[in-house]
Amino acid sequence: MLVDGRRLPEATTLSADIAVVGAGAAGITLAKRLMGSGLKVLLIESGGLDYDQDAQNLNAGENVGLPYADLTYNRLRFLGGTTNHWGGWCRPLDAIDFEQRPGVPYSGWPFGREALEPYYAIAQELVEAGPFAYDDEARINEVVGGPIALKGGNLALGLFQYSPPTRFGYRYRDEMRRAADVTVVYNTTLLEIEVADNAGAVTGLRLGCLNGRRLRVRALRYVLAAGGIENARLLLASDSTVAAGLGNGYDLVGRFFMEHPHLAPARLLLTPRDRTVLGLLNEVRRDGLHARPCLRATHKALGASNLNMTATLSLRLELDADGRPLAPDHPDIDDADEAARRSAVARLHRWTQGPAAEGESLPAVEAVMGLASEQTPNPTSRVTLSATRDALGQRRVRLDWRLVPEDLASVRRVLKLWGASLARSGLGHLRLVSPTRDDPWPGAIGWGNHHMGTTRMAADPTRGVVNAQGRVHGIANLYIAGSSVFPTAGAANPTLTIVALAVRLAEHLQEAAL
Amino acid sequence: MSGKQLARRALLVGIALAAGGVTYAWRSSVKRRRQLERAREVLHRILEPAAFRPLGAAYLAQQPAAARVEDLLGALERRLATRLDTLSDHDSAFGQIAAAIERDLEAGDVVELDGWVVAETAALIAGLCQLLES
Repeated sequence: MLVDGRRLPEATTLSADIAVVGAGAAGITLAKRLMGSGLKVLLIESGGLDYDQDAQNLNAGENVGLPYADLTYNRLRFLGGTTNHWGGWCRPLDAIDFEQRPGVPYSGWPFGREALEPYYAIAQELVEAGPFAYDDEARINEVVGGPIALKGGNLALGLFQYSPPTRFGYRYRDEMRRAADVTVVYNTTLLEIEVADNAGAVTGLRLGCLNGRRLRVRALRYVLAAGGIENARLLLASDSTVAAGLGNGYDLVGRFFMEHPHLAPARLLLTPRDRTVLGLLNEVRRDGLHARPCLRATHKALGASNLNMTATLSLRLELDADGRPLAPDHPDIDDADEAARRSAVARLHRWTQGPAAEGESLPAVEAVMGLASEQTPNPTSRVTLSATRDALGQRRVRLDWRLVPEDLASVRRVLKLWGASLARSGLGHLRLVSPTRDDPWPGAIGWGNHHMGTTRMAADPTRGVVNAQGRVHGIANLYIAGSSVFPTAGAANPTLTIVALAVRLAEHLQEAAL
Repeated sequence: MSGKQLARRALLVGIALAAGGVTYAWRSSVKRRRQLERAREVLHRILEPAAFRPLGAAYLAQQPAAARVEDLLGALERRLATRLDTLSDHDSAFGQIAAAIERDLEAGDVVELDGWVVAETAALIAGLCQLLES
């Protein structure tokens, strides 16, 4: 059932077994997975069924850290949430992302990748990304066009797979409308989580609509699934009983905000004798699989202290005056010195491929490397509340995104290992272009609009906001879903993992209700 | 022996030593020049040194002090585990260099030259090309 909260009578109290706040990838997954479970689910969405500027304006906030996207627009506040402008990139986290690494402060999840495997399989279906083939050698070869031998053990191939992308709100709206046990209340925003005097349990939710309507919710269990920034905001704003906000006994809520720094740090001069290597530039749509290859760091490359990263390659073409592609060593590309150095590197390459036959000219293709990196979990990178208020009188969010110099140093270390592996494998030579050692830190760095870490997961309440199941430490019936629970971010796009964790949480909520 | 005789003997010994030193230095210099010339010949046989000069310039720019050709040649020969001027045959030279580069890449002995990630051995060759050709 779909209900516009603005049209409910003033002071209505809605009741359910489980109240989920936020109808994005995590919230809708929870609702779907709980359908038919015998539990009555209330899914509360701040925005409408479609984009609405007034609702969207509730996202506005301050950026006081590194230059970052406008918070009004890099999240979407209507049914389906941010999946409404999701690019559809999918990849699960790697096993090392779950491990505690001595050289990466605050790293490690309270469980390993194997605990998520069955849920990843279900998530894959929900995001409609085809077969689960991310690290399947046969599938990788199919996408690339043949096997590529990578020497050195520092670098491996994997796949990014694409969801259509699934816009959860539109894709699953009818199913939710028809479901007798799911009620979606939209245009209704959570104002405060109300707790018992000892703050050990949630007693209800106070909701508000932009038309002034005020509502309440009573449920047995509550789940915040409002996104990596809003989850922290809602806990911090719920400060009537506990001044520091809920779940914040150890001053962790809002801290450890993580992004995936995006860089174009290198170019790869591919000078392959075997043209299969050019398949690294492929993007394939075939038999339900839409994928492209990626380079990924191995356990060996990451060791105990390097941060994870994934990279994709795109063909770099420069055109002459007539629109024809220039050869990579064409003197018109960049400056003459650069062309000469590139030519020298292409010649160096012959030593990794054996002497050139008489008259043989190795093909040379230059690719741009696009890289997404993990960042060090950092308690000073954080979400707090601003002094300014939104249209519902709620304090706006204040984001202070920070990186540490080690984040870039790690990228450079891993890229050098990759450079050695690529050259040794006879695939090409890597050139690190940006940021260089001499650039001001952190330079022109991009991001993925991935908001993670602000209600991090840890078995120990002094190290995390939620436990291994996603329940807020110290609060018996409050759970959090979404990437805000990621203690480390890996280098994969987060949506698939968000959905997998939500599937897992739905299972736990069903068991807890028995 | 009188003091005068002693002084005369010391003077003769000094002159002999100095002459020997000059001869030695001259011979060493000739030998070194021949070595360098042969190294240059080898490099010319297996590559086009002029093409490597831009990378070599980037390598030399990274050196803390003015790099000497003898130093680079010594470092290269240590990596090759043989003297460059003994690699008269093209295939064996190619093979020795390829093996050294492979060892570098396996060990992660790489340097960044104007951003390019290249094996130490390759960087030394490029640096040597720049010095020998300039």
